[in-house]
Amino acid sequence: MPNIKLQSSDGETFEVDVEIAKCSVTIKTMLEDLGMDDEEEEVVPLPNVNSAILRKVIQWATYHKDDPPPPEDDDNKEKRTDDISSWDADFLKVDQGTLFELILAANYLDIKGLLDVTCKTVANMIKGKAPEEIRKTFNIKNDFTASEEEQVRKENEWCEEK
Amino acid sequence: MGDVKSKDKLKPMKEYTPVKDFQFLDPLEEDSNNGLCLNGIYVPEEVLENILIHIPPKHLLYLTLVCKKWNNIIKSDSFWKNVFNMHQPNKTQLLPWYIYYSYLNTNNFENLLKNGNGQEKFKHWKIVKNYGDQFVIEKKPQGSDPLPANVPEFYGHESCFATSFYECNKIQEIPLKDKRLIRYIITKFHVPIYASEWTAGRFDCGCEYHLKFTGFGETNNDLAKEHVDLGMHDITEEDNFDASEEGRSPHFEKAEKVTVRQWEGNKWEKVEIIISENYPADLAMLVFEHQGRDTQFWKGHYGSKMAGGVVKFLIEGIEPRN
Repeated sequence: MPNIKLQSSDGETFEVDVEIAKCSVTIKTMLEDLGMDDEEEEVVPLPNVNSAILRKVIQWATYHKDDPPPPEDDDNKEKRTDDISSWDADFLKVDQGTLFELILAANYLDIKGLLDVTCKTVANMIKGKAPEEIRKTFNIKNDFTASEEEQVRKENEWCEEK
Repeated sequence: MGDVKSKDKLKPMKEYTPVKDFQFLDPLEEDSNNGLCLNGIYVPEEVLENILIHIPPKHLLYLTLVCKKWNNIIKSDSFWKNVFNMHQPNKTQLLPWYIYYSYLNTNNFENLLKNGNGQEKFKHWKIVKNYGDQFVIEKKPQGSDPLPANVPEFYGHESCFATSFYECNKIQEIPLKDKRLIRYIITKFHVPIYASEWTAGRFDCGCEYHLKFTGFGETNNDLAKEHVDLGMHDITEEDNFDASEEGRSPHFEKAEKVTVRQWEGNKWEKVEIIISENYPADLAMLVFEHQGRDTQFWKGHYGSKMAGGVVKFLIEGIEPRN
């Protein structure tokens, strides 16, 4: 099977099966647009992804290479939010910084499956937490003035309805 | 900041806010990337939206209290449209966020009619006329087909109401008084309303079924409550009055009638009413009324049967007023 070379921001080169690399829409488009031939020994530079993250991304894509293609956005069924597979859950047992870098890489490389599962993982960290806990978890400042906070609270309460 | 945790708990509303005095806030002015820097890593707004979209819709408003950026993202129309599309394959035009919120988090766009199959006897209904041998509840429809299978508005029940040889008429009132979000939406938008019910007759007897769906405004609300008989029976002397004279003309009123001839009545059919035309913005009460009788004056319960009543607001076809 033909391979291509992906180069991380810190200069490391990874040799990957073309079909696996193409789970990234960004890489797929790049190969098509640039008319890169599978035979050629060209290197695809990925200046937004460092080697540690790229290694993880390739690991994820390799495991999921035989997955059915992601359904179209407008698929006529309700999407689940709590359906992270146990392999993905284990794969994403990483520190918060790595998790966010994976999200950014999945976003940049346009890998829908990886973006979904990483975003769901962060959503699960947010679910059920009080605003103050969330601020602490992600180091966010409470930038409301007292009166703004009161207004927002009032508006939220107003929306509450049996 | 003080004791944020106890403040963060949602308190019950102390006072009732009249909807006409209420306005949603404009987005708050933000001064930095606060809220987009998650532990020092800058996350573009679209990515944060991608994360927040996985939060159950009923928890989302709570997260507006994290910071201004999160408030502005969460209270945006495009964000809620995506949340809506994630849970609902229906397509709609871009609507204000609070309409999607209301759709996903309140029962406003679900069936507001209760006890449609008589599973709780006559609970929630007001019997207006109980002539002949009166209303009964049939555990399974007698003398007609069973209720059609897989109809969601039966909620798994197999029972129905059955009527007699003179009018049997009852109503269910659906007050909107405490539903301030839908009342607010109605002040800004025209929201179509839908009412429906299934009816059948017996195989051996002709019968007549009426469905009437009426909406009242805030000012004629009490009158609607008092006046339980909305007059779709044969007019007699004492019933003969003019609604407008009494100052309680409804905001809308639509009726459907089904007449079934002898030997033709055993099949269930669905009768539907859609209020798609504009009605005044102070809608405060919906009244679902149905009536049945047989047309051959047979002793017993040979009149129309009814089951699976539905009243709901429709998100499809919502349009701004003016």
